[in-house]
Amino acid sequence: MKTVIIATGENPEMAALTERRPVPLLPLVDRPFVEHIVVHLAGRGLREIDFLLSHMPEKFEALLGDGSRWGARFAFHLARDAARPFRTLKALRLADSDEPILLGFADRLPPIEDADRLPPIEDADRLPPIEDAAPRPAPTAFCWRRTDRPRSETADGAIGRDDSSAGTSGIGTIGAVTGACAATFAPTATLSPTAAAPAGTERSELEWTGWAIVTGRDIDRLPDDLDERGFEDYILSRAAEEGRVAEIGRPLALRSYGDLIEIHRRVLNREFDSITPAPSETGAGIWLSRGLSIHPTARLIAPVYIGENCRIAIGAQIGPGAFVGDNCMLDARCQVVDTVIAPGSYVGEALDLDGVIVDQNRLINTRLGADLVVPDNFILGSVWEDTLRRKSVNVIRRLLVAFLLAVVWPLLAATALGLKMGRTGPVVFRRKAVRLPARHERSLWETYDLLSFLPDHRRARSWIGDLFLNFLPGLINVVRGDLSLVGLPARGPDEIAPLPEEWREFYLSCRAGLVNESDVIFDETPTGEEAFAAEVYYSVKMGVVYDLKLLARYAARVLMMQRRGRRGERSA
Amino acid sequence: MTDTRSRCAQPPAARAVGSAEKTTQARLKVLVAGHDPSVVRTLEKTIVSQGHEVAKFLDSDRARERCGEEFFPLLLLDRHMVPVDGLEFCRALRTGPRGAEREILIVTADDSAETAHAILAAGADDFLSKSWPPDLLDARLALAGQRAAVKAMGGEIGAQGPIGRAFADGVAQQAVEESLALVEQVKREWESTADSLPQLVCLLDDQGRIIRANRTSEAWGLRAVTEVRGVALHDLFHPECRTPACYMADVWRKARTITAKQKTAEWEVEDTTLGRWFHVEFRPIKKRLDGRTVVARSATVAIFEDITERKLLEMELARAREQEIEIGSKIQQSLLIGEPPRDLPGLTVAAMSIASQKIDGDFYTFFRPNETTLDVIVGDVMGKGVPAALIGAATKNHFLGAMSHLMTRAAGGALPEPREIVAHVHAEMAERLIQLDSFVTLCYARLDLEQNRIVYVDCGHPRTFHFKRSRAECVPIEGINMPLGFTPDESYDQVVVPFERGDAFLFYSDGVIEAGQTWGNLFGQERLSEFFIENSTVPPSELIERIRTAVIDHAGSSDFSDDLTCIAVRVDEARAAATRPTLLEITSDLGELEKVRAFVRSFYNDQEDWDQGEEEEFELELSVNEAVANIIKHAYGGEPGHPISIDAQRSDGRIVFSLFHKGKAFDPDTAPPPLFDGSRDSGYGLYIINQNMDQVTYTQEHKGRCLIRLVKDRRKSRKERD
Amino acid sequence: MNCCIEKNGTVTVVVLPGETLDANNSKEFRASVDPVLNENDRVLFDMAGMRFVDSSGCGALLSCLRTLATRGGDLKLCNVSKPVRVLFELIRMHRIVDIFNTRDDAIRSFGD
Repeated sequence: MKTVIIATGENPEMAALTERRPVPLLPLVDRPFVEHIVVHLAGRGLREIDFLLSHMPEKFEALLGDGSRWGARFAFHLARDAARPFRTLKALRLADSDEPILLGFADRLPPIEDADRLPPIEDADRLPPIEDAAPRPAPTAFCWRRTDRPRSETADGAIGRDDSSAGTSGIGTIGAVTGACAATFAPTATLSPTAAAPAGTERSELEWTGWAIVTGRDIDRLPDDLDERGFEDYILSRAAEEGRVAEIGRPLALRSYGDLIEIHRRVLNREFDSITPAPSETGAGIWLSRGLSIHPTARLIAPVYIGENCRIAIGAQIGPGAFVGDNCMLDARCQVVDTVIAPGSYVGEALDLDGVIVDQNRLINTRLGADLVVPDNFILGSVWEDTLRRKSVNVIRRLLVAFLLAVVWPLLAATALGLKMGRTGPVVFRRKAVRLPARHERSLWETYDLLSFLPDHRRARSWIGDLFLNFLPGLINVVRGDLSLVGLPARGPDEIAPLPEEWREFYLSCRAGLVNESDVIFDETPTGEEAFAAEVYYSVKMGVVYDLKLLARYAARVLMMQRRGRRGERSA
Repeated sequence: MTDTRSRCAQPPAARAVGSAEKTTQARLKVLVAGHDPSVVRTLEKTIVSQGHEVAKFLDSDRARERCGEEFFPLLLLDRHMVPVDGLEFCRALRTGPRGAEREILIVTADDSAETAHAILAAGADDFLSKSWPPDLLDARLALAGQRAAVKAMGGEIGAQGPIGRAFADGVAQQAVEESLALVEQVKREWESTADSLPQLVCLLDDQGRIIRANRTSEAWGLRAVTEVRGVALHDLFHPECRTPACYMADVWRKARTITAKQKTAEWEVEDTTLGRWFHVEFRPIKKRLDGRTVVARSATVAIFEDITERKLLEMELARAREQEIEIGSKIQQSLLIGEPPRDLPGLTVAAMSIASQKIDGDFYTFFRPNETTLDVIVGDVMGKGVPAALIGAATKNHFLGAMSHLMTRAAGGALPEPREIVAHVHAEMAERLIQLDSFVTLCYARLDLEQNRIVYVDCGHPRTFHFKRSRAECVPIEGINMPLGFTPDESYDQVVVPFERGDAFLFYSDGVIEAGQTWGNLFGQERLSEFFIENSTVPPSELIERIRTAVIDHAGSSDFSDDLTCIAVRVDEARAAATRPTLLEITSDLGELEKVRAFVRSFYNDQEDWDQGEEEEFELELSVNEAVANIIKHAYGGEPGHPISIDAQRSDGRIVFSLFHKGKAFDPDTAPPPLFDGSRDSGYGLYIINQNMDQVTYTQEHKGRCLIRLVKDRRKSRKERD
Repeated sequence: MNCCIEKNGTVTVVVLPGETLDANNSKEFRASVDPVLNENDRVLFDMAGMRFVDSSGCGALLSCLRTLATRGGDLKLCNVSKPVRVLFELIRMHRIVDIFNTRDDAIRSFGD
């Protein structure tokens, strides 16, 4: 029997996690979710699988290949609309009208725990003849019974709600139904919530697991423009009318952030024996892989799974309900409860994680539904100085410059006046510059207008010229707090963006100033590399003393009435 | 026998001296011999008070003489006499005439069971202990006297007669019981001492079975002391264990061979069954005491001490230390060790640094001031541990700073000389180094490919080797400077050595030449230099690997006490004629794109050892195609006839396509980002290039020439990068 | 550019000529296929022989789609070779244009 898996991969609710990979490729314990599905199907003899892909299909194909890894044959189809791939499904004509196919969604894994007890299916043709079967195979929808006891439903759905359904009568598995297909299961075709529920105390309803056996005809008759809900209704109605609804155990579903945590918890609680993690269980409910470095004072509380090569630092408390992927580092005294940590992540010191998904630089709080991207600077520690000190230093500096400005104000006014009289056209030019320090994202850059008496911040011919035409008006910006006296050259957004990445990164994290190292050191216009070297050098050396030194040098040049040359000229 | 016994059960002390029985006693002749006059006198007094006659001797020879002359029915002999001791004398008497008729008592100070045995074995009838209280002595003597009298009377009630014998036996038995009781008491004293020990002490026979064990056996939950007898040592600890290979049985076997040589065997063992660590000692028991054989059933004493606590502490410490070392090596890796440059035209560089058990201060770094120059700095900070590592990092930083500072200063873009750079760094660091009581040895080598020479500043570092291919000899480059931090002012001189193509250089730290187990067996510079010569044709990365294995072989272990740092630089041979052109020159015509693609495909397929598959070939083809299309469309504004050259290079780990054009400098950020909703049909080009290549740079060179550089690293496909 | 055109029911199938659709010939292709787009509502491009498509090629295809869409028609692609499909997935073309593995699937998807 052919299988069709709808793996459109997109789930708007889980946008933060699906940035890097589609939902079915999120890991469950040691391998991607969809791989578990494939393994189980192949193990039950269902080896021809067609995938319907939409979001990041290349990732699916890279993982699954052509199927030979599991002795199966895969085919991939692309669907244009991830939310409504059913029209494409219709067009594919994957089965003849009377042929059954097993249809399912890649973000739901139905229970196959009874697989060992039942014989594997090699070929649909070898099924035992069905006595009371209808002349054509009937569509079967696999549902599970959700029981809601009105007990305390805590925010952590896994604990509060008791919706285990394994153990009620008529439980089978997909394999059982496809194998026997007959009298073993009485159709429990009730879908309404009131059925079979003792009044008042408990509500139970049948929910679709996302998996069904349908015929080609059913697919042909799919109405157009169905979304997933519509599709579910259609399948259930087909099953109710012409087929049966089979009740099986509760599937592992990956449809929300909370689901990710819950499926891990269920697996670690051994509800799905077929997905028991490979590394040995070293204590009841504690799974530890190889290459671990766990500080003796770290506490592990079951159920907890730690992947390979992880480092758990002093005083950490991991669990209950913690799943840590490979190559993670959990720093000192962190607390990790009911949390899934994707491989390669770092959890910092004294962090308290509860109901959270950590995916490298993304932190997703499943209770609040909030997600946070942690930029690199944050993890390495603040690149900038202590805020309070910085602020106070800033204020003092500005006051000093304001004082200076007050002193030289007449000069400034005189220059302006002189220029006004000598020039036609505008006297004061404004140039957009980005306020530093700034964030990485361009959209977050704030700009200000840098004042100057020269257009386009052209270099003045002499240092005195520079003093009057660039420096003095720039003081106003300094007083305003846009930039400081000494720093890196102010640049506009269009000048910053084309810089090479490292240069840009470190430039954005420094501070800008009127007087620059490269200005003062070079007589000629520096080349790109020279400018970069100068800026790096300044950023390493910067500090009050060095700034003063630069200012002094600047003053010296002015006083010595030097000329500033262009490249190829030598200064006097 | 019972009757006699019940009669004799009456404590002999009840038979006080001077009781009515005295009248039945005959007057006997008693011989008393001993070397201690006071003892002899005491005995004499006692005997006389019992109504006998005494002949006393201080010399056994005289005593013997007298015995020969006269018959003494009762003799009291001191055990220790000269020249013949009491036991010998006794034996002699017994074997002599009328031997069985005498009553012989040995007087001894030692009341151990062994002595008692010896005495009885020698044929004495009884023994007296010097440590007995007088009334006991009295009573015993009285008994002896009676026996002697009985014997002297001879006949049926003589000592040989049944009654007499039974009587004598019973009495003797009682005496033995008493002494045994004493021994018992002493034994109990010892036992309680042994039981109070925290260690488990077992006496083992020569088969490894336990004879006795102290109560620690119960304290450890093994077995009750009464149940250990005959139990094999292994079964005591592991009652359930059936493994023949169990360590405990092994332990006993090994111990046996050692104790058989009368040596003590001791080890620390881990018992996984019980989960504890033990310190085990097996001591052989001396079978000979005072030169005489002592009957002892036990062959070995086994002492087990539980050292689990200590062991756990030790292991934790070791683990903590390992973590420290790991951190240290991480510091080292990230701060001190940099990657050697890979795509240097004309030079092949390989470097290796292996951390020692402690963190060391080795560091190296590379500069490429321009396309034809490579600066290599290799240094070693004196001292060990994190401080040395940090000084190394700071030194490296200073070099960076000095380099940039001097370069920005230098007129006309000339490079600062190595000696200037070193002097600059020294000026900045010297004082601090002196304060820290540390110094840094280093060498700064500048390989100039234009002038084919190496400019070298050496500061106390091991001599760099220069392999001259033309002569197949290896010459160290001499340097004359002091390490940094020796003296506050120091001027640095540089040495200029020309080289030819095919020559190679080897930089190393003293960890390499000092590797070895002992002084006098170090790896040494000669060996390294010979090794270099032998392996001169091997590529640098291979050479480094071979040096590493050679050093490990020589040292006998892969743990070193000093870091191993080694850098090999080879000047490439004159480039052989390329098999296929790696440069393509076209004009800015979209029709040429096909040629570009074919060029990329043929270049890729030429790289024999870069087999990454079709998909990567397509990625490269697509990216270069897009880049060239962009040049034509945007840099040249679509005008045909302008030159574009594409240069393909392959170095160790990457493929680089360099695209040169003279059009408008392309600013990647002015291009709007692609929108994936189909509303726009342009703008994908850059996205495609960025996704498929590992590094994309746009630079402006001299004379208006622009360069777009596309780099693809080995084994980094898009999938792996995500 | 000679495009081979077939009719299959209401669907017009255009077999793209040549092996490449790049910056050089994508404009030409676009121009030559324009009349087909203007006359038909349901167009299917069969890309069986295509070995190389670059961003201009993609742009041309999208332009075709837009032309049809403004007239209420639809464009689909089929028989896309592996490297070209990788490119399409990279720039998410498959979210804009229906891409099918076989011609039959594509034709069926147009519906009745």
